[in-house]
Amino acid sequence: MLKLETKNNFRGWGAQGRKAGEYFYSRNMKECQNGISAHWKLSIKNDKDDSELGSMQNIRWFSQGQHDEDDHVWGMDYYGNMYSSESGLYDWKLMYKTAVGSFEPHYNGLITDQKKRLLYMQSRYIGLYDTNALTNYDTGTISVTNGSNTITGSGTTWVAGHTGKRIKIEGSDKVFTFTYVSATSGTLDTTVDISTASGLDYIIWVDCDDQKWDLGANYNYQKPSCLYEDWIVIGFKNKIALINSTDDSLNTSAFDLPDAFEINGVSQGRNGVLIGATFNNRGVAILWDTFSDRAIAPWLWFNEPIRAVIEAGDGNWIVITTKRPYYCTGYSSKRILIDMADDKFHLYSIFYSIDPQGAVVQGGKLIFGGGQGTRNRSIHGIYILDLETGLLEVVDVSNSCQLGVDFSSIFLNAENQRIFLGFGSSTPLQGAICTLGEYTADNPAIYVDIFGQGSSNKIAEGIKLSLGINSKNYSRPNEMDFTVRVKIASMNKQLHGYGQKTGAGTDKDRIPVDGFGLSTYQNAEIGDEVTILEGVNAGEIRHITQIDDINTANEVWHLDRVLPYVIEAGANLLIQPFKDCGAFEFTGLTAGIPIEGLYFNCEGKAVGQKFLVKIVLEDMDVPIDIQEIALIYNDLSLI
Amino acid sequence: MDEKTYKEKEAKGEVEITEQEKVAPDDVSDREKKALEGEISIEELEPLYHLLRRLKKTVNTVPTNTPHSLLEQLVFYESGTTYRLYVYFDDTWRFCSLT
Repeated sequence: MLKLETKNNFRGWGAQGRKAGEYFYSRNMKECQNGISAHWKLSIKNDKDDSELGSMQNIRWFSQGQHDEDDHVWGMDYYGNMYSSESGLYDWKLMYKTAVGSFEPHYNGLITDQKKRLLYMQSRYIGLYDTNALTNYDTGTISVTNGSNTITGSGTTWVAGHTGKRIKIEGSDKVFTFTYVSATSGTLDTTVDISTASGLDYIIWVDCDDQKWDLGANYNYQKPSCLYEDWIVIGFKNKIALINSTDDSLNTSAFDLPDAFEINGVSQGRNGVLIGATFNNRGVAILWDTFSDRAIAPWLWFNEPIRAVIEAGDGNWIVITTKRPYYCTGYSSKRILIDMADDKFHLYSIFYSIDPQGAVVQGGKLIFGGGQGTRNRSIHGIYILDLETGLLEVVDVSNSCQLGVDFSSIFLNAENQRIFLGFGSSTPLQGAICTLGEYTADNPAIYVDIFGQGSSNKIAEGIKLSLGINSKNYSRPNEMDFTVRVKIASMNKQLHGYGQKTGAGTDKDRIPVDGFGLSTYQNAEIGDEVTILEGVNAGEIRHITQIDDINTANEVWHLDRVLPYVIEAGANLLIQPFKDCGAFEFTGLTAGIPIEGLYFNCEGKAVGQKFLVKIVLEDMDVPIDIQEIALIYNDLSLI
Repeated sequence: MDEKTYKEKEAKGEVEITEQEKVAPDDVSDREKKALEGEISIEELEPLYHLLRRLKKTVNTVPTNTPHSLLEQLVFYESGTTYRLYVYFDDTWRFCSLT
């Protein structure tokens, strides 16, 4: 008996398959009014290839404040480089670089205080960038001599108060510490690394004081912070420091925990300040009012280390452990999820490596950069968790890498409601500042779900698709381009496997692998799907058309389409049993998407009881909606 | 099966349409529902509940903070053999000695 089974409700993907609208998996796709749309994208704003950002590391902290009376988003990287951009949307520029030394910046934090000044945490000192002062000094020009640490000013009136301040010189990536000699003469802490020259622009950051506050010793830990009434609350190791924003006084032990505790979260809410700490690999959430000697509510213990404490958006908090998020009032907590998709009961989860500012709540969604080094649905990406349904969507980073991605900070700029984040990838080596939004997906947008009701044997025959264009989109090209590919797999085969490209081979249409060694996927079949997980071809999806020297160390997979670049040796690959059912490639489409839908013949591609149907949308210039998917199969129990 | 064959079978009524799992209409969460109806949520009452079921701690430093609630307006002070009840009103802390 021929059956037609449809899906048209797409609320998100999860672990259980029991929730209304739950499907199996997607990437770069967002629930929409008419189905699901290729409408998530992480847009790169600036990366290390841009001028002034060459030394940028992964941004660990963001903050929002004013500078020159304009709203700016600020970011601080691992090495204490501070960058800023007006509204976060214009070019990001290096604004300051802290000195490395006794106040090592590696374990840091960043916050804008009640006076709109920027506080930057270093190992020992808390620095202050008074962005209201506008007294940074750049009058005149300077002359430098290569290899010398003496500089000469022309038209300058340097003063003794400039001593100890940081100075940046045109043409040099380095930032120096200045010592005043005279109005036109000064010395630097190290020699100049650029060619001898005169007439160079420069800036002395007078408004920055790296040692405004002293914590008393180096504390090589992250320093989460928040504002609470007129206090700046800063967590460092096992202590909480308070800075009074009225008189700038500092109390370094306003709240102390025993030595073995490490604070990873400090966040304000309606019941006080919630402190997240870890002791002996167990997390504890502690509610405090900034003046009591002790907690104001019984401690809340968790059986996992705490990674972050963030505002939930309703006055309460989300406490994120290495395993899962909890909704917390300071007095009680409850789990938000039972299990994340493909997380194993006995292992950590996609939340494992979240940093103190590594998640944010926006519109009822918990957004975070997460994932593990696995090759299943727990792979790296920007995760969007619906706090009401517990269902997920996930977005690729801008270079499509799904392995070797390092996330640190994610930040909601309240001024324009944009979400900013930094990420770094190892292959290719990239550090970037990005913004997440509803834009047409650049990377392949993928949807996967399970079809095949009942336990009878079935033969897949065809797949029907109804597509549309996202109704939010108002950028209307004269001609539309996009490609839709459809694949099918029987669930009687292992869904996820992995391989690595070996050193041999430079062909763009072949991948040499070790088909014998244990490090690769065993028993790849002709027709299987290969996804490149990292490197210059990250995100590219192909199918195997031929296998040479199968099950040997010299196995070679021939691909159905040429890759854009030669794949790097060691690049990780995801291997899945999806069989190609064809594609529709639309170019110059003016009459809209065909209303009769698209039909894909999958005869001979899959036999089984349950099937996975995968849809891949590529090369779009408008966000394409999937409105309905139907699998036609022959139910053998009813013949 | 090619599209033409499928359409022929569909036209002859040889394709059975399988009912999709029924999907419940979007639920408004309990929390949202209470907010919409103007009800006070349990989370808002929780601090009061916790404060009332515990003893109030004594402190050994004179209070200087500005209290936010009735319970914070009362402070039990103990330093050596000095016992005081501090009360905050008219923008300052006042105390009386206790035995």
